[in-house]
Amino acid sequence: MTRLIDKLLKTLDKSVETGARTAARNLGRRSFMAKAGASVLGAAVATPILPFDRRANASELPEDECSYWRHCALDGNLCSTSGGSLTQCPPGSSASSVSWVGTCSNPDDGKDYLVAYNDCCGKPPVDSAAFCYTSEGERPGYRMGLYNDINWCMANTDKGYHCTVSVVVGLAE
Amino acid sequence: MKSKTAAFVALVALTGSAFAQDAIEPETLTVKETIDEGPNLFVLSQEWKGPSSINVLGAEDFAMKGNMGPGTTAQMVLSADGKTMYTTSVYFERYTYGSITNVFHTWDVDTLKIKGEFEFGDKMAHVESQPALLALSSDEAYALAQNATPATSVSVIDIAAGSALAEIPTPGCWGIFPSTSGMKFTTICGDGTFQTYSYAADGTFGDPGKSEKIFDVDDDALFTNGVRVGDTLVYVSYNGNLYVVDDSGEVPVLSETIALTEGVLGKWAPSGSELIAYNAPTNTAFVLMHSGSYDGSHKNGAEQIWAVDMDSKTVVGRAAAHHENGLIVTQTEEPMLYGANEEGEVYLYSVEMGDEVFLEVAEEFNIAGWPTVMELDR
Repeated sequence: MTRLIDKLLKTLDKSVETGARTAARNLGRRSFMAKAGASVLGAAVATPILPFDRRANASELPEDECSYWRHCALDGNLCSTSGGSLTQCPPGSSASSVSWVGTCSNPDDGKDYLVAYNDCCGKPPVDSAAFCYTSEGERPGYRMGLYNDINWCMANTDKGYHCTVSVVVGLAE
Repeated sequence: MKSKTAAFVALVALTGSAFAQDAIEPETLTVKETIDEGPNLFVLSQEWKGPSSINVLGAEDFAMKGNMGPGTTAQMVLSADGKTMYTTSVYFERYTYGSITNVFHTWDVDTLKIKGEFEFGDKMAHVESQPALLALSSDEAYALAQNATPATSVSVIDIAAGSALAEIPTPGCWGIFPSTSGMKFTTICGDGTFQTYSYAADGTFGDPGKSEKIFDVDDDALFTNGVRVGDTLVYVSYNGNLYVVDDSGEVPVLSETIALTEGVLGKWAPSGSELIAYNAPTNTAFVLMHSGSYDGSHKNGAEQIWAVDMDSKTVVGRAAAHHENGLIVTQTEEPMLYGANEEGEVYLYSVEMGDEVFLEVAEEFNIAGWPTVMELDR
């Protein structure tokens, strides 16, 4: 795992823990967390944290869409076959405020990129959409930022799972 | 066609009952009161866009006995006597958007009816069903439900009171493994440690007992769904090691590790979700395995089921599998092993014990859904 992901996850865990402790003192245990931790990773993936390399987009889509390099840890329906694109949620849906992260290698330049897998939310899944089930570098919920078996619309107002995008957010070290 | 049917129904009504009674004894519509007797296999088919379904099958012949209907992304756990099923579910007010509630249900297994229900907030994890995400305390007075917002916590649910007693923050940790006595549970954490939390009947809880680092999340991550083996918990790692963790004290301790794949050719590795099952009378564990493993293959359907003798700590059988992701085994002297795959197939394997363990498919059934987790009443 890259140091960058480590840093992301540690930031998430640290914020959650700090938020939990503070809120447990201030609000009582039942309302301990609010969305302190949820917003951390969301903010991190919404803003590219390293210089963005546009060559990350260069590789052509293969016939088997799930084998496209940036989908290396994607468990879900492709938004690109649900009315959106690789990086766009379909019209009328909302982008998840939090996401999981994969580290995928682009065969065109041999470099590893950080890919944020945001779910798109608030609509039913498209039944005809391509379903991908890849899990490179995936870990269970104790490394939540790498976990792809959970509904990442969980922190949104509209929590219905629609589809998933793969957004290149930086170079992995 | 519709008008012809309506005309026929009207004709029967007008000509009166004498015509029908002369021909046959009219049948009476009833509702079957209870499921057929005999041991049961409960198979949860989880849904993310509507109600989930717990299929109740005869454990020996896979006869369909009926179902129970919890909500979306449901989790389930069965009482020790097999008479009561507990579920947690998400209910969307507008199916895909707007407010949600989490509902705890108690079901009577004999009648498949709801015995009780109540709401317990809105933080339960919307996640694939797994045995580690909803558990009962040792006395079955409390249910422990995994939350994720995505910050993780555990709701302690007082079943008799019908409400959540406490929400225990478990930052960076995942999974719930209740102790064999008392009010404690252990969880797996992202820094490679395990933590044990205690709680009290008044809803208070203390700081967790945190272990030394037990596993390496990057080099040999653990699957979440372990099994209880006596006083210990046993987890499977991505590389094919069993981690035996003693959770009897205030701080979890690694007892030992058991290598399953050392010296085995073919890059065999464990895979699946509910990928280990343990039969106590024979002290045998069963593990889902696949060959040619690579980074990301840890959810592949199984090619083989390996039997592990927990006395000698060796693999004592390797049998062909059917792409299963989940396993469960009876606690009978002669084990009966069940597997389920993501194509909806459920298999019953007969188990021939001995110096070498053999498995053979005895029954199969397609539930036409997504069987994620199973329960047995024996």
